[in-house]
Amino acid sequence: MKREDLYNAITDLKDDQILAGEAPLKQKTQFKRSRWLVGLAAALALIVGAAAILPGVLAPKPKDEHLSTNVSPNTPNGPISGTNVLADHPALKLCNLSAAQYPSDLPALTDFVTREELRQDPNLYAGALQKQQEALHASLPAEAPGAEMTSFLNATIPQILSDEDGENRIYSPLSLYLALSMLSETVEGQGRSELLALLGQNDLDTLRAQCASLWLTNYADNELVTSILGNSLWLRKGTNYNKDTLERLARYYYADSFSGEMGSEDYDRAIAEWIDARTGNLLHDQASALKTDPGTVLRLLSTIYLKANWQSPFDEEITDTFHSPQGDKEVTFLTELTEDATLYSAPGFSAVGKTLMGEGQMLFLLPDEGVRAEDLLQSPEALAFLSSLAGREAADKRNGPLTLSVPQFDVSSELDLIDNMQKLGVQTIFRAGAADFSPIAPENEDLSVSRIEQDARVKIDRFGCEAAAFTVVDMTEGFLDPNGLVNFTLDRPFVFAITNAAGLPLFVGVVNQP
Amino acid sequence: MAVEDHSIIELYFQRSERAIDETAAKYGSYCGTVARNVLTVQEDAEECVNDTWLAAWNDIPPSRPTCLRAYLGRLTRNLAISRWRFSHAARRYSGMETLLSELEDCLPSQNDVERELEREALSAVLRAWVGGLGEDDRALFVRRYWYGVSVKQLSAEAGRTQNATAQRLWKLRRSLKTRLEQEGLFL
Repeated sequence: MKREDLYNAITDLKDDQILAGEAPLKQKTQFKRSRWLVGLAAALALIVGAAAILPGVLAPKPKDEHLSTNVSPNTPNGPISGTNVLADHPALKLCNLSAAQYPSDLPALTDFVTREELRQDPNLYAGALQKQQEALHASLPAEAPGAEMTSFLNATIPQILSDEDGENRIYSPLSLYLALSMLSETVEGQGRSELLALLGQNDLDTLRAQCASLWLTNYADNELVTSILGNSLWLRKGTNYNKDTLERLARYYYADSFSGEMGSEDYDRAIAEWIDARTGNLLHDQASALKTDPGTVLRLLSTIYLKANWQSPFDEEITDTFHSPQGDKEVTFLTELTEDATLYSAPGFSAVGKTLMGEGQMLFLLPDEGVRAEDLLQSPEALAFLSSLAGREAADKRNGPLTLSVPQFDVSSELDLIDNMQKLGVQTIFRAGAADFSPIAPENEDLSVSRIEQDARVKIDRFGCEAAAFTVVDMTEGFLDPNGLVNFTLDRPFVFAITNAAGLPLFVGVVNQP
Repeated sequence: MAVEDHSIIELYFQRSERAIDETAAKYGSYCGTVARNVLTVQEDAEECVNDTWLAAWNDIPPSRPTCLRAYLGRLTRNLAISRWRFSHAARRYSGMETLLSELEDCLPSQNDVERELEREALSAVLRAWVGGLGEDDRALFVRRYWYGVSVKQLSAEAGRTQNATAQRLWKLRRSLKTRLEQEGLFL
């Protein structure tokens, strides 16, 4: 064996190993040790059981190196890079009917800051992001989204997260909104009217502009934040579909259309791989369990994936007791002391926000003693707080030193949403033959929606958070003393939300068992 | 906006020369960095990158790379190492090296199949060893020995002293050597 053989063997490392070495090395993490922490050592000692400093690992563990590279934060960035990853997938190449029509010449983050500048100074991100968002909005045909989604958020959050089963529940309003919007393109008459009413829109034109705006303003794939949305339609081979509708879905919702044998293992696997590629493999098990059957005429899918580090990591990890409905449990808590934190308080709860790279936030809402997390989500004050920046402004605010203790969690849930949709006034589409699905399948008269399901997973550690959700729709035939330190310890069921820079909640959840 | 990889690959398959333009536009900077870190001379690196485009043109089809970025990086690195070896050999080829090189042909060579199997085993062991490293060590090893990033640069990136970085690299090399020896692979 010669020296050159070793050179060559290094050249032949795996694709993911090569790509993993492209980005600059991470700075060694410096623990924040403020004078406050020293002064409050005695207070902290009350809750420190055993300190366990573990490295946070949030990187997705992809099973397929080819697919994973496209959701890596280190891929070339731009508002919509990496979206068509599966177009060359052997199982899909044969059946891709209509490819998403991504807009060209959109402003990218790198138009306003170079990657090198960002590496040198992450604080430049916020300014560049603002300029990019302004440029994006200037290029959009309709006003920026916000108010229009409030009614949808206020209706769906209490309805969907109200179950009293003591389980964790996670809901992505944005993913459901996009899935239902695509669905409204496929149906006419009463079916569409009910959907538009829930979506808070008067007509399809406004809805299209709204969805395009939501899609573009929430798409980021750069050095600091990965936030990827994806839409697709899965058609049944042999069924006739309205090509105009497929093209509208490709143009306004950036949805790829595929065709294949419903009920076949290959098609189910292709669908699962499409989901994996757009959700960082975070929902691999759930996607793999998703099956079609020969009676499925159409499947709509909408995905969302978010991965971002905290602007500053938590200081420490400690072990302490979480009081879950199922009994007390020893869990790892992430703790930090902030000298000037904002504590929000409103009837029934108090809350703290932790800022993510890219100006998004994770909000932690702790219900008052005696108030259940599910009940909190029925209160207008909590909903207003979760739904928008304006709602947060309305809450009482106090600033001062605060110790935040959050259980490290990795929670997932599977929500069957048909019953919820019916309670929210969407009914016609679920009755066979009652709704007019001619805009998508003109020759099938006996169609109904047989499944609306959302699978989601959110995990946090010392360094950041990672979250993903997919919504599948199947259509078939037949809260502070300003002078003192506040301990904000989420040691009982709580509510969280992950919001984007504009304050829109991308994920809302109830954690009963971290 | 950059063209998607699959579209670029399709251009190769269509034998459209736009394939090279799009590849150069999207990956010129990346391949240039890989080449410069091996060759250090700008002109050589530029020629090497041009060789990469030609090599890709000749290889696709029939090859259909699953990850175009890593594929082009690998091509560039191979070509850069060949070019480096050639230029060094040219400088040496005046005395003893020439004589030894000529006589080397007289030595019984290792069986080609046997050597190829050994190379494959080396490649597999190296991939597994790199795969088993922690995230930070893996990034450090690949950046140093695949991308050729300087110890000074790596130290700045990680916020460490150069001495600490060099020591870490030495430990990694020692670990690799042990692993290769365990697998019966001796250089």
